[in-house]
This record gives sequence, structure tokens and C-alpha cells, in this order.
Amino acid sequence: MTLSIGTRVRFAVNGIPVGAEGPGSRRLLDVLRDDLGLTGTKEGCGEGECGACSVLLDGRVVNSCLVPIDQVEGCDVRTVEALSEDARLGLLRDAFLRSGAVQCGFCTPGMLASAAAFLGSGRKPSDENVREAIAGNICRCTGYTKIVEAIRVAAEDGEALDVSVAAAPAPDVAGSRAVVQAMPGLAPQRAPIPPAVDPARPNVVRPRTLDEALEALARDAHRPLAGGTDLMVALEAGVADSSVPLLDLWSLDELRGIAVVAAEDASGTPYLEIGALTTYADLRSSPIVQEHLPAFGAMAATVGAAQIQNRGTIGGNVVNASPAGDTLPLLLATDAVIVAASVRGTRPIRASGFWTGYRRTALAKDELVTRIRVPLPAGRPTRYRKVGTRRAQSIAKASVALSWRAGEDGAWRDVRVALGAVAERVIRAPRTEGLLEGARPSATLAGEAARLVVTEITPIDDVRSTAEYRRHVVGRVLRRMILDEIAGGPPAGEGLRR
Amino acid sequence: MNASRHRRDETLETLRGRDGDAARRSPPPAPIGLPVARADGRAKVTGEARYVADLTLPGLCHARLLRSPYAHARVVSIDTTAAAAHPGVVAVVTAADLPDVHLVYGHAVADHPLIADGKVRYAGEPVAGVVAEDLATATEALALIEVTYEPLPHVVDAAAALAPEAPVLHAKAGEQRPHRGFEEDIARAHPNVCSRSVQAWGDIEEAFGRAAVVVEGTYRYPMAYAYAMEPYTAMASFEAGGLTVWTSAQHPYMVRDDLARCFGLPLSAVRVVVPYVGGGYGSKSYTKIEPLTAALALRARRPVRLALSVEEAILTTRGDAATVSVRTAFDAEGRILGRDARIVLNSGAYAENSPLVARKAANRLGGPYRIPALRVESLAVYTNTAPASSFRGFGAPQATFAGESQMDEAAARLGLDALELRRRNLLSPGEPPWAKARGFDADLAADLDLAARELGWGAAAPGHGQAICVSMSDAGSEPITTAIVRVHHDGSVTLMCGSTEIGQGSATVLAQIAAGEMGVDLARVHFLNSDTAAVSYDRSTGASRTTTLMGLAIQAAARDARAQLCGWAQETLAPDGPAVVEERGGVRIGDRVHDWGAVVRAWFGTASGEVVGRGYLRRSGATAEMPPFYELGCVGIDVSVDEETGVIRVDRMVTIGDVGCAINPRLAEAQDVGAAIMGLGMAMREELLYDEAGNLLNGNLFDYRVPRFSDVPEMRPLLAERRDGVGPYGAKGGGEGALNPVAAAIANAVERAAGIRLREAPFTPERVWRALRERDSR
Ligand SMILES: Cc1cc2nc3c(=O)[nH]c(=O)nc-3n(C[C@H](O)[C@H](O)[C@H](O)COP(=O)(O)OP(=O)(O)OC[C@H]3O[C@@H](n4cnc5c(N)ncnc54)[C@H](O)[C@@H]3O)c2cc1C
Ligand code: FES
Ligand code: FES
Repeated sequence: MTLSIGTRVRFAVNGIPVGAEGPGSRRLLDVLRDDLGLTGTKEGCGEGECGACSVLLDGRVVNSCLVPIDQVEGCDVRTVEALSEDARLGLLRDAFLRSGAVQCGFCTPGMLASAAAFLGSGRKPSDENVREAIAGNICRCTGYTKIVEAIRVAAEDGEALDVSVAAAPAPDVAGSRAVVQAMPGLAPQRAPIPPAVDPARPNVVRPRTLDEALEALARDAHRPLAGGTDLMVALEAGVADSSVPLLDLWSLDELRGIAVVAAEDASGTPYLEIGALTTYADLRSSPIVQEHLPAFGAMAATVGAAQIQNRGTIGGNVVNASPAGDTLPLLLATDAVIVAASVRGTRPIRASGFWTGYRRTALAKDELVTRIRVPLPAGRPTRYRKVGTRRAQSIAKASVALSWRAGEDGAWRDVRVALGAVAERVIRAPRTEGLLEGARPSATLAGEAARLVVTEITPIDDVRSTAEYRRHVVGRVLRRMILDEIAGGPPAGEGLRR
Repeated sequence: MNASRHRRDETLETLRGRDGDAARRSPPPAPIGLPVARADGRAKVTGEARYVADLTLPGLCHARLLRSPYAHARVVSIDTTAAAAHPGVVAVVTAADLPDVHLVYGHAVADHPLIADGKVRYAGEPVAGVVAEDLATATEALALIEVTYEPLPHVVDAAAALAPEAPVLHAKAGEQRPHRGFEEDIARAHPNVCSRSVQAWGDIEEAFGRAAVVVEGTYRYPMAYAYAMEPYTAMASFEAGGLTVWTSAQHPYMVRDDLARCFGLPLSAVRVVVPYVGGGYGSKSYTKIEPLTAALALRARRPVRLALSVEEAILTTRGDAATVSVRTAFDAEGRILGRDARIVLNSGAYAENSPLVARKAANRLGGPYRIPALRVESLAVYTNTAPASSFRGFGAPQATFAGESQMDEAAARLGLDALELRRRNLLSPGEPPWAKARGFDADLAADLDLAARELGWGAAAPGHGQAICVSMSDAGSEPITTAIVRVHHDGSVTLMCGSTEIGQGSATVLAQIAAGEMGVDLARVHFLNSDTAAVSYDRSTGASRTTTLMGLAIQAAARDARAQLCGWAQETLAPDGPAVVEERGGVRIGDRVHDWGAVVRAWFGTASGEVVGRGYLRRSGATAEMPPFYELGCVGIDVSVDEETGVIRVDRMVTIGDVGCAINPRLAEAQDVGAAIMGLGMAMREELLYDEAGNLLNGNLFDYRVPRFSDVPEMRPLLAERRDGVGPYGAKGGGEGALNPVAAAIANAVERAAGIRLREAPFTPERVWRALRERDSR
């Protein structure tokens, strides 16, 4: 067990070993800019929305404003200053210049980081894929089209050169720091070493094992920290109590992994076991998820954008307990079990009893979520659809998860309808389920279900929409989902659009 | 070579040939008209480009601001003792601590105290500032300041602010400043009227009396936020008897003037430096946080940086929301007889540039049409909300939404094709839109044809709707600009001017003009800008004026340099010989050619020295008439509507950039795409919302949704170059035009697709859905 007060976190930036001081919840962004003078990475919003602070962390794009340095120990960080050393970034840089993808340039460093991660992923540079890859980066100047073009050009040029095999050469220390100042009298300066205690930045405890974590939690109040995409935002906004130390779970690999596990009980139903630290990116890329629960992969693709998908975890989403959380309706509709652990032992909590109120859960103070178990009964399709304000990086305005057992007669049985963002917590719609139970889906039934489901929800008026509109939309979405099934299944890319 | 890139360039070429009519005048010299790479591009893709927040100074302190939780309140007392005693705090500053500072600034109407002075007028107004060794300490100390407020009745809605019993924001009228830019006196008909502008001619009653068709409606344009990705940031230092401020400002010289007044300094003692700027779009025009940052530095006796968050930036400046009530009279053939309108802008707590926005909205409501009788009254109204000021388009998006919506509404009533109706009313080239104005410098009928062809006008797919809308802005602001062109003894050129590079590409375009004028290689031209102690005066970087007006000043400076050089050549190289003949890049004497560097060396007698060419621009000669030029907008759009959810899908957008001459076509095109997408954001989603208590509900990026990659339709940006502007080689401004018609174009296209008329932007799915529901209940 290590307390990070006064300790140094060691990692590499653009290939150079560096150390950072201060509370472990300090933002990677501040270390890069203030301690290391790498001001190429920009701060736009400090809350994960704009992508200006994007950097590569072990090859994946992340928002450096949401990454606590405690979680960077031993990692490889690449920033825009690495351009001269990285062949792939070099191609991008040239393509950005040639295509006119740069205007004010404030978004450019982050944009290049997302683009580099995309090129590194080996995905096809189709228009759709490129747009998705950079959905987490805002550019207010260009209207985006030139940026998409530049990335496609770089991808094509890269294929021609086969840069994917060219490993980045050893970095040049002087080169990466050579940020020459044009202004007279102004030289880039190292900021003073930050104070070990910063009132706005809680300290971080990094346990080496789950048992250590549970012991710490049993002893003192700690706030678990997973990917930090909710917690770091809350700290930045000053809504989280910064006097409570954080318990950093990120390095606990025992909380990762996706596997199909044989039934332990009499039901004989196998289940999908998902470690609490599983990220949306893990869910999306898992062949096991693809095979057994494709709706989870589709759902994961709608969460935030690449930066959030690379860090946000299913455990964090479940415990954060936002009624708009994207995993929640699916876990309800699949009757999943959330496994909680403490020094007192392990207990399964059924999803139906887990969310007890607005942002409240059945978890005790000394408990952690370790795994999530999703039953995999045969012949049980599950679907998910989300309505947001715009197509990428949007929190659900309303979401619907639908699951049923397909009878041989074409009728639906054990129907479950779960709804997000339409009440103070995620809910099931029992009357609508009753209507659909044992029936064969039809256009008439879909219409009836749409009318009934709106009577079961209690959405609120907020800045994003009125309760009345939310109601209407939930009905329409449910109707459309049923109609799509009649027509032969969900359209390709389900969940991505709406 | 990439196929799609290739195709695009070809189209561009064809268009430039087809509609360019470039042969009308001699072709401009290279590199004019070439899509050369950005001068600042490399610095921006390597992270070398330094913005204000990336700079530091020895001994730099950091500041945070305490902001008012009340929309309107008297500040009874502020106790800063505990905060000042907090370890690490360098200074705590309130208005009471600044007796030696002239607190109130404002270039149009001086009404804005740099920090609340006895009263707060909007929730979020700065009340106190803390300077500390680091940000964390400053943040901590903020919580130790005790402020006692006495809340006052407040008003957030502009119409409500005009009611007789409405709470009054400014008990006495702000002082009008020479920079004010609008002609009328502030009419204090109601104390909450910040300014009132009227544009009127002809006999309105007569026009409506003989109308065959009158369309009438009220159109609302949202309270929007420009969202430059870099929030306002400034760093100030008093040293050597002067003040230096590094800031993310568009108009460094205007900021200098305000700072000199606040701190009682001569203009020469105030230096405003603008490094790289992370977007502006008008929102960084005029003075923002610079006086406050300097005041903090004054009391701290140390250099201070104030870097706002996005949330704070939203509370600093926003765009003017508008309610436009307008009726337009047409004769039976569709000719406009008259237009009668009232524009009410919600301008927030302080005037900022809203009086000018109001003035321009009035001028721009007529659009590019021949209107025999017009009467527009335009009010900028004080409310207890964040101050509004310039924002790309500047009154034109608000006015054009109303005006162009009415054109399509009228076309439907008259049974005319919407483009035909426009053609019947468009100003002809050379025709002044109002008395004493410059003649119209564009051929919009040709632009309409181009847009119609590109969009496939009249061939919308089933379920889709199309529209094409136009706009006209009297642009360019005041033609007050200077430039310096220095030619060194190796023949390379330094260009010095006060225009700010905010991403629009001025560093590149202006260097292209200098290179073209001096006949030197672009790589040998270097650009120095936006440092009021180092370069010469430019009034502003806004109103799409830089390429045109600074371009003219650079041409004049280059001419001045060349004339001097020719004189020097004659004097030293051919004192008795043949007459010197000017050539591209130098002079010819007999059969020998001497480049400029050789002339400089010859005149100074050794490899030293330089020539300094000066260019001045004012209201005289080509720029005597106002406005200096008209900025045009022409946007075509194709949409479909999801009837179930009310989501509008914009599938295609065509923009015609009628820029006279695209000095750099790639940059001109990029401006249009950026502007059109920004317009799309405001038309579809962007709107700042206040609650009854006067709190901003969605003042953050999470709730205020700007367009992302996935929101962008297929774009077709085209340029029309007829060399018909007043600027260099026939150039005129661009960069705002493609934004102005977007809201109207979407509304008109939606009407064709779904049979609903949207008069309130943004067209959120919910608003559309309500309109659809109303349609179905009819
Ligand atoms: C820009 C942006 C976009 C987003 N978009 C979406 C979206 O589209 N859909 C969506 O649902 N969410 C979205 N989110 C929210 C967030 O990313 C998700 O909720 C994410 O799953 C949280 O996981 P995390 O690992 O980052 O949680 P953290 O922030 O680390 O933790 C969240 C909470 O859970 C607790 N916690 C975490 N793990 C455990 C555990 N194993 N045991 C006990 N307690 C634990 C923490 O103490 C904390 O209270 C978005 C966030 C941002 C910043
Ligand atoms: S600064 Fe905007 S996402 Fe990090
Ligand atoms: S170039 Fe300015 S925000 Fe992208």
C-alpha cells in the first residue's frame, strides 16, 4: 500500500522518463503543461467535453484533463510535441497542413492525438469511421470537413508507406522541449513544484490487490476511483468532497476481464461475467460480447466518444447511478447481477434492487463492485436504443432496453422493458411488459405499447427537454424497436443513430 | 494523390474560370489566388504555437474571480480580511481598492465597471479578485471573502425590461464614446434602452396601402455563445512606467485605448500583445478582462495571469438574442413595396458592442433587395443577463432569419418560385441599397443560379425540402488602418500590421498580398502583427475587413516602398543614365535588372539598411464611400424531417463565397464551411437559457451543445470571383456571409419538407415535434 503524498509518479512523456510530484489526483494535463512546459496540449473545458487536452496514453487517446497522475505510473504518454519523432504523426501533420484542416489551431493538438490513435487502430479510414474516431474533439473553426479529409489522406499515405511497422525512434530530449518563445522577455519556465497538499485535489491511495483495497475501505472513508470520467469531472466542478482520499482501483487487473461462465445454480443458465473495470472500449472490441450480447457492444459505442470509451468503466457507470447511465437499462433488462465485495465477504445484488433512488445504490460504504454477471439464456434477444441531443458524445435524453424470449410460435415471452433518463432512477415498465407478454409483435401492438409505456414513466422538465417530449420519444422509440423486429432485426449500427 | 482532393480542386478551377470572369482585369500576380499553405500552420501542428495561457513571466501570479450569485443586487459590503490573510495570497481586489483607476470602460457607451462597483447587474458578474502564488490558493481564498448583497428586482427578458415598471439597470445613461459607431443619441425613452437605431426611407403607409400581399410574423433568434475554444485569457505586468498586457483579443488597439483611459497612461505607455489566438468569431472583439487583469497586477505589484474557464467565458460575452417583428408588402408581381420592422435585442447588463449590433441589424434587415419604403426600429435593451456583444454576422443572422423567411412565405402566397421572387427584387450591381451608400458590389443573381445548379434546385428527393437564402451586410467597419512594409538589404520583406490572426488566415493572406506587391518569393516575406508597441495601428480585426482594408493598406505601403526604391535606384545606380523602369521584384536600368535588395545596398553603400514603406487608409479615395464593401451570403440547403421525433436532418449544404477575388481560395473556402456549420449550430441547437431567477441554466459545454463531426452534412463550398470588390485585385470580405442565411434556409426547407413554419430558432427536435403536432391538429 502506497500513499502518494510527496511521492513521485514516474512515467514517460514522448519517450523521456519524467517524474511528477503532488497529490495523485493532479491532472495529467497540469503536469504536462505546468511542470514539463509541454504547452502544446491545450485546456479547453477541463471536463472531458472538448478534447483539446487529448493525448495518447499507451497508444490510446484520452482526455488528459480527466486522467489523475496516479494512473499514469509506468505509462507512455505522447503529446503533440512528439510529432517530429513519430512517423504516423508526421504524416498527419503534413496532411493537416495540406488539406487546410487547421485554423486557429487550438483544437489541433488534441485532434492530432485522436487521429493518431485512429491510424494506429488499423480501422478502415471510411468517412463514417473517421467521424466516429474524432467525435470527442470539438473544432469550432473549420466545420470539420477538412479535418476528416486530412485524416483520410494521412491514412492513405500511411498505407502506401506502411508506417504501421515503423516503430517510433528514440526521442530527442532537446527536440521535444524546443518550444521557442517568440515574445521578448518571455521564456518558458518550470512552475514551482506544486504543493504536496492541494485543497482541491484529494490524495490517492493505490492498493496492489483487491484485498488491500477492501481493507482500506473497511478502515477509513475512501472514494473508489475507476476511470475517473465521472469523478474527475465532479472534483473539477467542486461538487465532490475533496477531503476524502481516493482509492485507485485502476491497477487492479483482477477486476478486468470478460468471460462466459457456466451456471452455478440450478437454472443451468450460463452468464457473461464482466469485471467492474471493463471499459466501453473493451466491451466494444470483445468477440465474446459480440457473440453473446451484441447489444452491450452497440451500447458501448454510444457512450461519449473514444476518449471516454477508453477510460470509462462499467463499474463506474453502475455505481455512479445516473438515471441516464447507458449500461443501466441493459442490466435491468437482462436481469443482471452486480457482485459487491467487502472484507465481510461477497454478495450478489440483482440489478432490479441495485438502484434505490436518484444516484443512490444498495452498495454499503465498505463495498466495491467487483463484477457484473449477465445471464445468457438461450434464444433471448436484447436490444438497446438511446435518444440524445446529437449523434455523438451525448448523454441520453431517454433510453430503452428491450429483451424477450422468442417462442417458436413467434410470440414474445418474459418480456422486459427497461427505461433510462425518464425517472429518478432507471425503471422497468411492468404494464407494457404485460401487454407484450405472450403476444406476437405487430404494428398494432407496437402502437399500443407506445401509448402504454408513456403512462409508466415520470420524466422531468430540464434544460434538455420537457417531460412531455421525453414521454413522446420513449413511446416512439419503443414502437420503432418493435417494428424493426418485425422487419427482421435491428438496423446495422443500431444505437449509433437516432 | 488522393482522388477526392483532386476532384475538388478541379471543380474549383472550373468555377473560377466559369464565373470568375477573371479576364476582366489583368491576372493578379503570384502568389495571389493560390491555395498556399498557412504561414502559421507548422507552429500549430507541432504544438509550438503559444497562446496566452502558454506564456509565463518571472514571478507570475494567478488570479481567480468571485462572481455574483444574484442577477441584480446592491453590494452592501465586502469583507476581504480573511482572504487577504490567507497564506499564499498576494492581493485581494474589489472596486474599493481601486480609487486611482478609472473603473468604467466601453468603446460605444462607457457603462461597464471592470469590477462590480456597488451594484451587480447579472449573475456571474465579477465582484472581487484574488491574486495568489498558485491557482489552488486563489480558489481557496475566494471562499473566505464575505459579501453582503441586497437583492433587487431583476429582469431577464428584453420585452419585460421595456415595461414601464421594469427594474432599471443603469440609473444614469452611460457616457457615449467617440468609437461608438452608431449615429443616434441614446434615446432614454425607457431607461433600459441601451441604444435605439432607426433605418427609414420612403412612404411606408403608402406602400402597405397598395400591397397585393402582406406577410407578417415575429421571428426569434437565440441567445448564442460564440465558443472560441480558448476561453478569455490575459496576463498583465506593470514595468518601466508602462503597462504590458498579453491577451487573446481581436482588436489590440481598441483594448490599448481602454487600458490607457482606465489607468491614466499615455497610449505610448500601454503595450498590448496578442500571441496566437484560439478562435474569436467576434467574441474577442473589444475589451474584455484586460482592465481587470491589469488592475489585479497593479495591486499585486506582480505580473498576473487571469485565465477564465469556459463557464466564466460564457458569462463574459454572448451574442444578442433578437425578437424581430416584421411585415413586408409585395405587389402582385412579387416586387417588394415596403418593409416595416421592429428589432428588440436582449443585450444583457452592459452595452459592449450591442448598440452597433442593433444598428447593423437594422441596416441588414432589408437584405440585398430593392426596397422602396423601409422602416426599421432596432433597440438594444439592457437585461440582467451576461453582456452581449459582437458575434460573427453581427445583427445579420438575426435580421436575415426574419427577412429571408418572409421571402419564402411571400413566394408561397404569390404562387411564385422562391428564387424567382428573389431575382425580381435583388439589387443590381452598382445600385446603392439606400441613399448615400456605396453601390452594390456583387451579382447575387448569378450566385443564386450557381447555388441552384449545385443544389439541384427543384429536384428534391421525396420527403426532402430545399431552400436557398441570401444575405447582405454593410461590412468592413471604419476604413482606418495602417501598414508597414520593410524591405531588407537582402531583399526579404517584413510586413508589420495590427491585424490579428485568429485562425481566419490573415497572416497568410496578408503575406501573400505583400509578396505579390513586392514581387518577392512568399518564403521571403515575414509577418509581424498585433503588438501595439511594435506594429502600427489597425482599428480592428472584425467585420470581415482585414483582407480588404489591411490588404489595401499593404498595397499602399508596398507602393510607397517601391517608389522610394525606384528613386534610390535612379539616384545611386543611374544618376545620369537611362530612366529606371520598375519590374517585378526590382528595377531595370538599361538591360540590367537589380532586385530590391541590390537597390537598398547600393543606396546605403554597403550591405546594410532597409527601406520602410508606409500605407495609410482612411475615408477617402476608394474607401470614401460607406460601407467599404458588402458582404454577401448565399446558402443552399437540403433537409428531411423525422416526423416521429422532430429531428431535422440536414443532408447537404451549398455555400457561395462571393469574395470578389480569393487571395487564397483554400482559406476562403474554409471560412465558409466553418461559418455555415456555426450557423447550423445556432439554427439547430445552440441557445443559452436563463431561469426566472436570472441564473444561466446551461452555461457549460455539457449542456450547451455545439456541432460535432457527426452533425456535419455534406458540404459544397463554392467561390464566385468577379473581382468586383474594393479591396486588392477586386477582393472583398468573407467569413461571416455563409452563417447569416443558414437559419432561414433551414426553416424554409423544413416548410417544404414537412409543411411547418418555424419562426423560433433553434429548431430543436422538441420545437419541431410541437409544430408537427400542431400541423396535424389543424
Ligand atoms: C464527456 C463525457 C461523456 C460521457 N458520456 C456518457 C454517456 O454517453 N453515457 C454514460 O452512461 N455515461 C457517460 N459519461 C459518464 C461516465 O463516463 C460513465 O458513467 C463511466 O462509465 C464512469 O466510469 P468511470 O470508471 O470513469 O467512473 P469513475 O469516475 O471512476 O467513478 C464513478 C463513480 O463510481 C464509483 N466507482 C467506480 N468504480 C467503482 C467500483 N468498482 N466499486 C464501487 N464504486 C465504484 C466512484 O467512486 C464514483 O463515485 C460521460 C462522461 C464524460 C466526461
Ligand atoms: S480540456 Fe476539454 S476535454 Fe479536457
Ligand atoms: S481550428 Fe480553431 S477550433 Fe479547430
